[in-house]
Amino acid sequence: MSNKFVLQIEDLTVSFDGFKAVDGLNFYLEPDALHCVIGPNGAGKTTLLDMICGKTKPTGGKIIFKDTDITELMEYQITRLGIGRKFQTPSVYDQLTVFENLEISHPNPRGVLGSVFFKRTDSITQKIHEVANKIFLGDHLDDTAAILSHGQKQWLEIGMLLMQDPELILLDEPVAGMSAKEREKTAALLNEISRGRSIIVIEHDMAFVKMVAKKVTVLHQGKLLAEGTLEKVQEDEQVKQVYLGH
Amino acid sequence: MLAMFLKLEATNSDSSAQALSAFFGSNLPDFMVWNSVEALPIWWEPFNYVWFTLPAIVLLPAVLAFVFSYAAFRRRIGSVYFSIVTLSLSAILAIMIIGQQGVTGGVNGINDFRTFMGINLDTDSAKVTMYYVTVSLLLLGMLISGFVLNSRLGRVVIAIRDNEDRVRFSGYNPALFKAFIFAIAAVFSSIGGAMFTIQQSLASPSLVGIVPSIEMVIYAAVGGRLSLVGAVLGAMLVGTAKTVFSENFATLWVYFIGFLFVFVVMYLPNGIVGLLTWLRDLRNKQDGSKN
Repeated sequence: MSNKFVLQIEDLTVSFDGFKAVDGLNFYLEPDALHCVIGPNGAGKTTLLDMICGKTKPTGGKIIFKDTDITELMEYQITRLGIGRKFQTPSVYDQLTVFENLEISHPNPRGVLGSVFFKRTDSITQKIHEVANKIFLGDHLDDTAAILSHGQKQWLEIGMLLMQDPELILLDEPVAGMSAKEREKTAALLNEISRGRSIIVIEHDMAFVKMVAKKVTVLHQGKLLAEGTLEKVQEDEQVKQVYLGH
Repeated sequence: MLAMFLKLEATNSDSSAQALSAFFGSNLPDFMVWNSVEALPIWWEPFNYVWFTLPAIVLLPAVLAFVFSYAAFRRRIGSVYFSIVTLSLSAILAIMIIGQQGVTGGVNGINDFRTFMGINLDTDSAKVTMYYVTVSLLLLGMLISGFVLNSRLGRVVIAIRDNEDRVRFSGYNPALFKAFIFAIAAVFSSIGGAMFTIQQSLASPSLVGIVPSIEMVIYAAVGGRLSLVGAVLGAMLVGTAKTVFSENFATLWVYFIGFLFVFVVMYLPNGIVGLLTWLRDLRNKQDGSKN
């Protein structure tokens, strides 16, 4: 049975003490899509990503990645299937160098004994350099992550995802705290890496969404409000109401 | 475990014990006789054999520590809570040993060993040999730790300390890594305990409870918790200080170690090694400004 969607989310619900953060959501993601999820604060955007990558367990509904039901899997199992997640605040290993940050993110080996007897191969080193150049950190390989700027940490975390070659990348506010110039570079980066894989981006910055999104989904109070191209969504009366008030 | 083996060996070679054994039907350690235990408990039996005892010193703690800590880490029990659980376990063990005097020796512990595989432990040459064996084991332990720390596993563990969620979402199972490190630590402490037992001719519950467990944390804190050499240095320094202080002011020792810990945590977060690195950096800077 083959599935034409990369990600298929059906009737997804999660409630925290009776409060439904995500409520009966259906969401389909096509291959090679760069899909932005927008919505006011508390719309359930981050919670949606949390459920896809296994950080939060849904109270109802199903998440299917390609042909696998991942609703009940552990985080590391979901990652190994090919889903990479970037967090809202940059999550890098401060005490390690950029090189080591990227190296640890390389998928082989992930076991305990494999890690003890790991030998760095040329192909891995080459891949690290490749990714570092892509994320504009080629000159910073030996710097510890702690001294990088906020924007550089965001890039590094995207690079760490690229090391895993995931088929689906989940990005939670990738340009938060970036300068205008950095935002442009990030948009170019996302457009480049979206070739051959699908990306879901959560973002508040509409200018940035305009630069990258092929398709936009608007969430409001845990429910799907509108879906389509950015132009279409912006014309939607309901969306205008939610964003501008009554 | 080594204590059990040594005790049985001492018992078997002791003539008065042999006389008693004719009465009870088997050889019993002296404290069991005093406590009117009439047969050797079944879990003592394997410790009659050196081929069981020595591997068990390494393997048993490794397996126990791994299973226990994996169960805890999988449920995301971490940091302070994990410390509380492990400290409670050691307290429970100490209480159990004291309570089950008949089979554990109680408050007195197990003591009064004589030989190890036929070698008399009281001679000077045996003591010198044991010293060298201990030093070799220490160096071996440091070598293994260094190897593990410098491997990819070492970097993963640092990564877990910095940001466990990120590691989890990079496709690792952090619980497995933490349990592995915990198991290695358990093996090292077990070997350390065995060497202590054979040299001090003593294994007692006062060496199991909460205070000795915290003392070991202080060793690492004083020496430098981020450094392998620091931990060894700290253990030797605090150990020496303990001997000097407790011989002269026995009751003040606990207060002294408490103050030492507070002082180190407040003013020397990276211990003696951290202080030395700081001094070196300072001197380098001065040299640099002169040029």
